[in-house]
Amino acid sequence: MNKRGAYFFVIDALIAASIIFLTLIIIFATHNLSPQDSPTLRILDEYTEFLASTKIREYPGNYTRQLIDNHNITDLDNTLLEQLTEFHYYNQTGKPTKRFMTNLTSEITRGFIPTQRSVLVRLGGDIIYNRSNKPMQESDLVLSSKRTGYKRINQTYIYGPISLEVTVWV
Amino acid sequence: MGVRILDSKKAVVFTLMAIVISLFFTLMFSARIQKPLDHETRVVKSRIAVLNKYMETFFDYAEITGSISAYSALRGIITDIDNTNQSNPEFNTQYLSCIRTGNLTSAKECPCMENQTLIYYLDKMVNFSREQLNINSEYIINPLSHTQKTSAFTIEVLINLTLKINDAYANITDTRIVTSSTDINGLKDPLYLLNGTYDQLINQTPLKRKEGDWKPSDLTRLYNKHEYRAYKGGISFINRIKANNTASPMGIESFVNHTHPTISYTANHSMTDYQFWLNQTQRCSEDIVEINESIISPPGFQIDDTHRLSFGISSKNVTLTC
Repeated sequence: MNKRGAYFFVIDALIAASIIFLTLIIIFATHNLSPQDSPTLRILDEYTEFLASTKIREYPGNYTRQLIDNHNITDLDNTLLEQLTEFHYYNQTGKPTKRFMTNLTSEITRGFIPTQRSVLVRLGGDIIYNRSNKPMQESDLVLSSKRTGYKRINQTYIYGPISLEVTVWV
Repeated sequence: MGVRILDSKKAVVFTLMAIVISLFFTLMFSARIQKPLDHETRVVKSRIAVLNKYMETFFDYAEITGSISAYSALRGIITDIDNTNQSNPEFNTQYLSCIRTGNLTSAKECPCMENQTLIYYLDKMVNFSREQLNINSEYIINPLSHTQKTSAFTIEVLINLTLKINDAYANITDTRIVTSSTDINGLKDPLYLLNGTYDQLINQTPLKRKEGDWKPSDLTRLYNKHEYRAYKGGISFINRIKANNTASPMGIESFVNHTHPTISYTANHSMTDYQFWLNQTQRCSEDIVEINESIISPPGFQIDDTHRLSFGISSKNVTLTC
């Protein structure tokens, strides 16, 4: 009886372990980790606020310094958003500045939005920066934020309002 | 028989325990994540934050576009003076009307104000916010006013503005007085337009001097570069428009080019613009002197004694004109 009983216990333990193991496998295989929106939303808000409120003279990026040294940026009191808007105005009026917009946005974004997240920045409807890890359509979480951009060009002309739209997806 | 049953019961204990634990895990992980109770509040807060940002943007935009409208309106009024060769004693009301609607009076348009009025710009922002940001808003321009308190070369327009935002989450209304400053540099000087024989643009000197600190070399620069300085005994830009020829704390002055082919003068004339063009002569034997060529060349430049002293020009460097 003892020998037979011991077999039953062993078999029972194996069956139990299998049940738990299979249950855990099934749970973890089907459990979908949906990303939380709060951190991404916070990053997005902080990013757009940073663009709208940080002046060129306060931003220490290497590429930005290069643009200043080459006199492509002349007003250091421009906010980053105003500077992008100014570049957009020049681009619309025949002076090719899209490269400046893309590189400047890239420099700002690199230090702000983690590389795990994809980013798309549109200004006045034009894509000025796109960093995509996976297609937006396949993402479970797509967040977007809009700000209004404008820039006084001279005594009698203001460019804008135009929309700055930042989309982040995971 | 009894022992067998007992053994078989003991033998399924682990299986039963495993089933219970599995059920527990399954229930725990398959439970739906409840949204926090303040979820709705967070959405509302987030929307209100967006609306607040829009409100700040609107008033900032109003300040900048107010400045553009104010500058364009000044240019329009100067153009009108140029066209009609008449001063504008109704400047105070016509200027504000020009900023707001682009009309000097109900029957007369303000020149150069197409797509430059305050209403044009604010409409543009309201339409933009509706189409791009899905924010419905309307604004009311309450009475405008203008003043000149900070600089002789700046006019401030005070725009009393109300913005109403109508949204599904919140209705927000705010009234603020926005101060838009406009620079008069680059505009034609109405004094020259109305009284002179040639036109001159307002061009503020970059020299920063207090009363009493002006040097003879500064006069040379002002004269050669046709620059203006703030001078309390001078006529302000607004008074020049109105042809109100009284001295003002916001007075400005420049010096007439005495070599200009259209210029003629007597020994009683000072080349200070308002004195010259308004023909305010003084006694040549006492009050008017000619500045030596070492300071202003070619010779013949005359100035009154008050100005000579204000530039610290020694009596050795001048000669009486008669």
